Amino acid sequence: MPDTLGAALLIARKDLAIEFRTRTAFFSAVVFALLAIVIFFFAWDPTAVAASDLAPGVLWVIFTFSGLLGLHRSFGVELADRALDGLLGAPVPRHAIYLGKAMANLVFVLAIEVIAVPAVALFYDMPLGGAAGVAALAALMVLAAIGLVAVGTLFAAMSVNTRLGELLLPMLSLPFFVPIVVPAAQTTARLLAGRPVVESVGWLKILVAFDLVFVAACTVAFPYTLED
Amino acid sequence: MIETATRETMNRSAATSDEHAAARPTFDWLFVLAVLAVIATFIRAIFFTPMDALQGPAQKIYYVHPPSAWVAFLAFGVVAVASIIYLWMKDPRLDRLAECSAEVGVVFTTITLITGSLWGKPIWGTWWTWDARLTSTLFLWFIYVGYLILRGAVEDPGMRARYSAVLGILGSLLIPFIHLSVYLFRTLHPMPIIGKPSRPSLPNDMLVTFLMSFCAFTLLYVALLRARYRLATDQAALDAEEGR
Amino acid sequence: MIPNNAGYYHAAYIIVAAVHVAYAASIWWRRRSVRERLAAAAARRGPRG
Repeated sequence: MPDTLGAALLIARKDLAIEFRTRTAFFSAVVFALLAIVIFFFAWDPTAVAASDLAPGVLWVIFTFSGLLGLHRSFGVELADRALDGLLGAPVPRHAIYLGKAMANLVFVLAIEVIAVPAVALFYDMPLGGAAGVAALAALMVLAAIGLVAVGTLFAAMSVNTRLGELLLPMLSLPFFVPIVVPAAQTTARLLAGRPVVESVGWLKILVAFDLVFVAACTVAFPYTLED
Repeated sequence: MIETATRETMNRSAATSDEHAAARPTFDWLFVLAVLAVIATFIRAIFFTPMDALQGPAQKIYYVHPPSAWVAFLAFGVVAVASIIYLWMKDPRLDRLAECSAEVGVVFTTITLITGSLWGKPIWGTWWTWDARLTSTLFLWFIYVGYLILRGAVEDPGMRARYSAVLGILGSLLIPFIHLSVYLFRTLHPMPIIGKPSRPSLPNDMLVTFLMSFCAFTLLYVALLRARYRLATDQAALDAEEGR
Repeated sequence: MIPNNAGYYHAAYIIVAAVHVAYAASIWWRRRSVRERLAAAAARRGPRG
């Protein structure tokens, strides 16, 4: 086990190092998120619905779509020079490749959210509820991101080997993001309305259960997506 | 029937030297039986089952909608189980079974969604309602379609089988979460219940038709699955031939 | 007053029948075409002893 974790961390560091060097994917995802946040604002009638009511929904939809951008990149980067074969040739347990890539994706997604959340708060007049509110939102973000990268990393590994590539990843992943986004958005709306956390326990249970089930299932399934 | 048997014997001897000869199609008695069962159910439902005075004739959609939904989910159960066993045993026939059940399943799921809408409008007053069961069916449809498109996007048979199996298994894990999410959503956001009748205890006449329909559609699923499986086997033989 | 909604149930039954017939026909048709191609391939290979 420690071997797997060590290998995973190495792979995660490698991916993040590559990403940090070029930063193109990250910047594109951030710019996309900001644009989408702005465009969504104009899609609604501000007299009919208060912007702050829209905020939770917008926040989590953006989370989904910018997450997808980051996910595809995680295996797309290995396509050049068939780098994946090199990775597979190394004495690295298969699970470690999955965990490493998932961890890199997790950092990527959370990094985008560090920028997206304040942007939504700004443009949608969303009260963050002080330090406690921000902390709660951050914890929620991490839980949701874990679910997203668990499923998304697996499907990214599969999509990169198919003819449809980038088109396949959202199509496969989005149904799986629903049990993440619905609890997350509902909880966010409640927290922002000042409701006690206790009220959101049902949603949080679904989210945590989803994370547990799918991190386990995707870790087990990942080796089957690689060449025998 | 006798000629078919003779032909089959001849084919069997040819098949021993040529393992890829496609079997001659025998009279598909299962399919005919299934079709007759469905027709009998339709006739009984239309002519010999009393109409519900309160809900009107549209209530009769009830005899085709839940049975179709049952088959839709049954077919996916078969996909999921075949997928798990495939990943364990690597037998391509299991992959073929999963593929066939997915195709038959998406047909039944589409029918379920359409009949659900046609039932919803007169009975509940709306073409669509985000209740847990209907939404789960909608997501089942998305998983099926994703499954079939994924299969179309992968050329290597081994990779296709493995990828599909993974999606089949993950999809089956997803559906309960969807159901739970929608259920919790509706519990906390009471939505207007537009004249939805509570499930009545069915009078005997209606109950018999209802059960008959379940049996007939299940039989139809098995018959279609078997027919589709034979097609898949022939297709595999053809791929092997053309690969030579 | 019995609601006048027979149209919905007619539509539903017709759609169910039509979709199943169309799907069964598609299986039959596809199988026929595959078997023709198989027979052609076998004929090309010539009879085996």
